[in-house]
Amino acid sequence: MSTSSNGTVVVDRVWKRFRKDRTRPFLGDQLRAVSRRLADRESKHRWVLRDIDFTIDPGESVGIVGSNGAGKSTLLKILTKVMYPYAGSVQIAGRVGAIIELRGGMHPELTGRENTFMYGALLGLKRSEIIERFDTIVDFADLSQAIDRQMKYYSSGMQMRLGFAIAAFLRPDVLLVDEVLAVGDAWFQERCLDRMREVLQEGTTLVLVSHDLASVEATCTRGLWIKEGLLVDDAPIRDVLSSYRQSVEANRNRPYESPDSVVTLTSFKVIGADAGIPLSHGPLEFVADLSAAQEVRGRLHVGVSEGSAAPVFLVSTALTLDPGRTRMRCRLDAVPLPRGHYSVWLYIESHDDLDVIPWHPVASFILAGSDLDPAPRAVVRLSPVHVRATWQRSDTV
Amino acid sequence: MIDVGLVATEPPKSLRRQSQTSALSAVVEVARHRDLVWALARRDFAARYKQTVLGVTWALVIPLLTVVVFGVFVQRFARADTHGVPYVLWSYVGLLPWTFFSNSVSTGGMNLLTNQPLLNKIYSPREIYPLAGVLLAGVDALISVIAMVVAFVITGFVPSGLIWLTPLLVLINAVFAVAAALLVSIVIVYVRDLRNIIPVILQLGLFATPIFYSLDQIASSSRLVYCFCNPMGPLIDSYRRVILFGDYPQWGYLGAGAFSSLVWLAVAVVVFSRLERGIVDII
Repeated sequence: MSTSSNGTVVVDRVWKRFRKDRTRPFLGDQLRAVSRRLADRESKHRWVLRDIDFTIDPGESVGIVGSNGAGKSTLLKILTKVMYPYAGSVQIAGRVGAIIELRGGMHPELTGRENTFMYGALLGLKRSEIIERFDTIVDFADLSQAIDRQMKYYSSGMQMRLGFAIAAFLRPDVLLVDEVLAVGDAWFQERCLDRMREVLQEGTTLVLVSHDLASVEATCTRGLWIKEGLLVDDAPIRDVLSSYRQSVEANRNRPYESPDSVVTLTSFKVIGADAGIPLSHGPLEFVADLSAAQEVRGRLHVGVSEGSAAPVFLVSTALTLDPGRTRMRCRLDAVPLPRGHYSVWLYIESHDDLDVIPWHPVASFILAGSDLDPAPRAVVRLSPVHVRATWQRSDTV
Repeated sequence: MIDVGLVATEPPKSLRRQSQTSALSAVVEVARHRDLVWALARRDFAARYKQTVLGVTWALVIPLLTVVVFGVFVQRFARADTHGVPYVLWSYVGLLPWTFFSNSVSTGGMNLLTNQPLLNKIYSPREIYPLAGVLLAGVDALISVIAMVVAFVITGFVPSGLIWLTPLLVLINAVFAVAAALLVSIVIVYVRDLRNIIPVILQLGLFATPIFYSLDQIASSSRLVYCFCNPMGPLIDSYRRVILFGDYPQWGYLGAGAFSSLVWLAVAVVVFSRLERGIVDII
């Protein structure tokens, strides 16, 4: 063990591999798999983490981002010591707490009270510590009415709340959180965020894995980006998120043809004032060139997002396409967005509610101007915006 | 951005098993987490009797019924030389340790599989799961002892003065049960076929162990080898001697069983700590 102070996380060149997927449970398949393995020994495994190396200082809050299957959850499992690395090592000084999807481990036949004691013990609390915190936990999970009811009669929200509450009062030196901040209703989420803030203020080291980039940005100061098992970026959270978002959409910008080739989006342009770079609170124009094989009546939606499918704002208009080419222009008088990198998503539906062109990214642009004011720690900003828009339709390109 | 073009396709040999865990440190870890063994056993005990009318009373009713079945029915057909001891006591003293062992293997052996949602989310030494199964079997056995006392009272039979030797036998019995539970629980994760064959093996063991006959019925030439292979044999013989007959155990046979139990325990601890590293990857 290192002599570093409590809350330090040292991940020293960690490698992890899994076996290739299993065959069907028949003897013949197993035997064939064995003979294949004898022929080529190396094809047995696939690497999920390669040479992951970083150190987290006490009190730091680190967000781990990456697409599905990149290895984030495997890394978190290795940090919690549930999984062993194939090579390399992990050293964590102090008590480790983990907030993970907890429902599976609760015993359905036992009451909430019995499960609380069971769970607390598994998470490393002494019986006396659980007794001391029991009322706080029950109060936090808002289960004082139901605590002596069997777990199988709990709603899924109640189970998750109890799981979160037990873990939230562990008082660990290092807290590992996997994708669970969106637990329960709005009221409970607010309490969770309050609790996270308290935990951070107590000097706990936080490692957060989430696809909810807004909450990662709000909670963490440093970001780690894992891509196909490799650590590709380790920098302040804003920088990591901006390069991550750019790469997510770089894979997606392509012209789109509707499945039955009725409508094709031939080009989509984003134009700033005087054809220059768009500015915060300046005008912005979208130009969509569409070609239709037959008449289409429906609606066109255009949304601007920070890379994900959830837009910051949407504008839409009725759409009539005659056979041939149509250009749709949309002028936004003032874009109420801060400086940054944005992507534009587009959707066309027909009158009978069919997807003519499904919701997908069509372009991206960089906006110059001022930054947003910083939000309080752990407050997730959802950026609701209202935009005035003027639409204009012309039949000639 | 970090340049990842230089990362090799395989880790260098020196990084492999940088933090190897030893079997000894595993034992220390388990000792530190012994509260958890209790908590798990308590959980499974409580869960078993939820929503039943009799509740925890069932834990006592079942062994009492067993005593009645043996005392009233089985007795009539049994043809064993009990050395003048009432048949119900003779058979129950043999059956109880076997039931403890059998329950340890069937519940403790399955505990890694059944607690999968816990063990791939929260860290704790994995040994606690099979140990909790053995502990639960032990609690059941203790409750059965009450039924046995009832049988002693009803038959008016007085246990021998050598009964003070029983704890030694219980210790050996527990060592063997722990070894079997550890071994079965970890191997079953890798070879799920065992799940289907274990009940059959336990059923066979019931007849391959001198429970409804005595150890003397095994040929004396191979008896020592037998005692080494099946420690439950000399154990049950010794229980009968010290509780019912007032004889000392046959130390040679008991020694073979005890030695074998210890060897099994050592093997189980080493195998468990080796195989335990990979279970979350495949469970």
